Amino acid sequence: MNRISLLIILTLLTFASVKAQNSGNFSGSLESLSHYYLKDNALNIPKPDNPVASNNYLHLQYNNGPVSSALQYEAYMPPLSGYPYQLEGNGITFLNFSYTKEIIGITAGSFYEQFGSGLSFRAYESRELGINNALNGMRIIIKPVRFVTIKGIYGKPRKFLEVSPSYLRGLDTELDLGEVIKTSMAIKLGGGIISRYQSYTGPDDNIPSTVNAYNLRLSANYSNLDLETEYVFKSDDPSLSNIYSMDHGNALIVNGNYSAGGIGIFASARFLENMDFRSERESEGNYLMVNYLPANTWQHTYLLGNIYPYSTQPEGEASIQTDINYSPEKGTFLGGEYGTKFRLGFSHVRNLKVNESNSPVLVSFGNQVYYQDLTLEITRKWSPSVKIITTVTSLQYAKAVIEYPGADFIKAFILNIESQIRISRISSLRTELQHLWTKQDNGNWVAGLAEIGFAPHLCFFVSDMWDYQNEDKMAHYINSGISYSKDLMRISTGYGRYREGQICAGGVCQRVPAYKGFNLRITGSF
Amino acid sequence: MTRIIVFFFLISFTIPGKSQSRLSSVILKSTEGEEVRLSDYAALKKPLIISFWATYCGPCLEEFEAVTDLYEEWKKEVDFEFIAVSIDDARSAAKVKSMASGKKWPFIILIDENQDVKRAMNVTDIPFCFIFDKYGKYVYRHAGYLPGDEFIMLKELKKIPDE
Repeated sequence: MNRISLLIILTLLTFASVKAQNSGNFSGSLESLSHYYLKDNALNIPKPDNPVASNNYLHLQYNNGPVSSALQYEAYMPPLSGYPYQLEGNGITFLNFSYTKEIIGITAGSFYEQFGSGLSFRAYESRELGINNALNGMRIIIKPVRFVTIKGIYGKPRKFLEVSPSYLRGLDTELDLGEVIKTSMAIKLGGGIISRYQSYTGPDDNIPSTVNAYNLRLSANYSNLDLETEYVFKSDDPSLSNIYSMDHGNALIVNGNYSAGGIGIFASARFLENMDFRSERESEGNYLMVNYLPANTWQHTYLLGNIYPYSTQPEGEASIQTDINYSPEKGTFLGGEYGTKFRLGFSHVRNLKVNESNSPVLVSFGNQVYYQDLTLEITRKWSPSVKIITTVTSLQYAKAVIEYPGADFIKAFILNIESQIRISRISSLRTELQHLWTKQDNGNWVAGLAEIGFAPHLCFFVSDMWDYQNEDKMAHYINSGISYSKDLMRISTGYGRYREGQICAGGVCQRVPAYKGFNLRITGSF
Repeated sequence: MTRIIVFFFLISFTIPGKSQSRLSSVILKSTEGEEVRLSDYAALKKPLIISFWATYCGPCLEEFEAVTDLYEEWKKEVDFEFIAVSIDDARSAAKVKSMASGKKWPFIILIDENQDVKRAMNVTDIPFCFIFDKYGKYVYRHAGYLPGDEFIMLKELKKIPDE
């Protein structure tokens, strides 16, 4: 830890212990995740030179009326396997001072922000993936009248433990038209610009130092219906990720909702063309992104449902998704005595069509399927203490597009049966039995999980995934663990073998290597 | 620049203030898109249960199903509000309203799309449950959900004095 980090944390804790007794609120949180890696003969993984890795985060917050401050200290000693090696080290990565009163809010230092849905700009943190692109600079939010919000930002994005040499500056406004024209329909109109400046001193005159992305959006809500749409135009942005293409980018998203008692229907369509937008034109992977392009698909939470997760193709894709929730009345044939809930989801992703001049057409569907998922989930409570959740999924996954060229196009079917049994008022048993059928890739998988909980503190689990048709290296991915939580502290530890594959958070995925070993996670707040 | 921010950061601790509610005043959105703050609900002068969740979080959905089954019964015993704060981001925030409606959840649903309130309230894992008294002071906080936790919520609610 450098001297300034130590000085700030010690000063803060000292002040806080005195001041928080009678003025303002001082709070914080701690998260620590450590792995101990072992040699694994079944997967041919040698024991690493340094078998210990640890990611640690300390977040401190002080609020006193219109004034607030926040600080985050991070230590990667070294980063966990699968995280970017550039994170190795430690330091204060987030520090700010904010003043918010009535019509104005000012933040100096680090901040997170997004314009609209984030299609043009989102600064956020995802500890699961090692992503943090907070801006370091200044933000001003003004509300001159009730129905207008104006945001201005200027800063340098975070780059691992440092800041990028590039600048982001932006202006975004939102107008509450429903308030202006006094209608029962809520209508909001928004628009803004985000601009990236990265100096270029190379020989190619066509590479711009400044890249702009403009967004225009509209949302409307009337009775049970909601509609929101956003369009983004990005100027020419030749970069390593788009192989220095001189084409501009476009994106369009339309979301709709219908909600009435017992039924909810969500539908979405999204089209992307050349929308990879980064704070540095030479960056790769998920890092240094300016905008946020999550997968427009169902989010599976079961073990085998996450073997083939979709990852957005920002150079061009067209996607549609629907998600329907329905709860029939109890006491009916469908509802049963204790209640039944249905959830049906469908998502489909393709490439974009190209026109005569070989340019993609934004609102179009090409002939190549990237991903498709049809999932039905039925949750039925059979008695006050027994609930069964049955999930069936049929999916198609273009591995050659999503992961690496030459891979199979995968068609799979997954069945998951989960039972939740309350043994007593505080003890419970949860089990999952899963099977994945596919003729491609490494063939079928089977998985199971059992979890025993004693509320509110203790939980044990054991799980296994087995790719029993894999002729190269058939392996059991057995895991077991225990967690204990009390009030604001939670400690969990586990041991097992973890599968190579894509881990995803919020629809952004990254590939992580397989490993065998122990893990320890401690979280707490105060 | 960093030195100036450090200066203001430390100065903020010297500003006199009075003891205040722990309910966050950071802006989030209702399912109708309106801007609201958790501190706005202090005006209800009722105990509040605030639970952070996401559409893709299994234990969160399990907790809400358990609370939904008992909600009317609880309301007869204690006058309180249950507020579910979704931390779904742009991937799934638009699904929150239809999911809540389709699952017949009877409580208030709010959306914290860029997780500003989650950070402000130091939420580490979801589900994360807070119980506040009618003055906005913490009574109970708990990370995670195991079947049976809902009875502890009710027990903690009942401990809050009427005055």
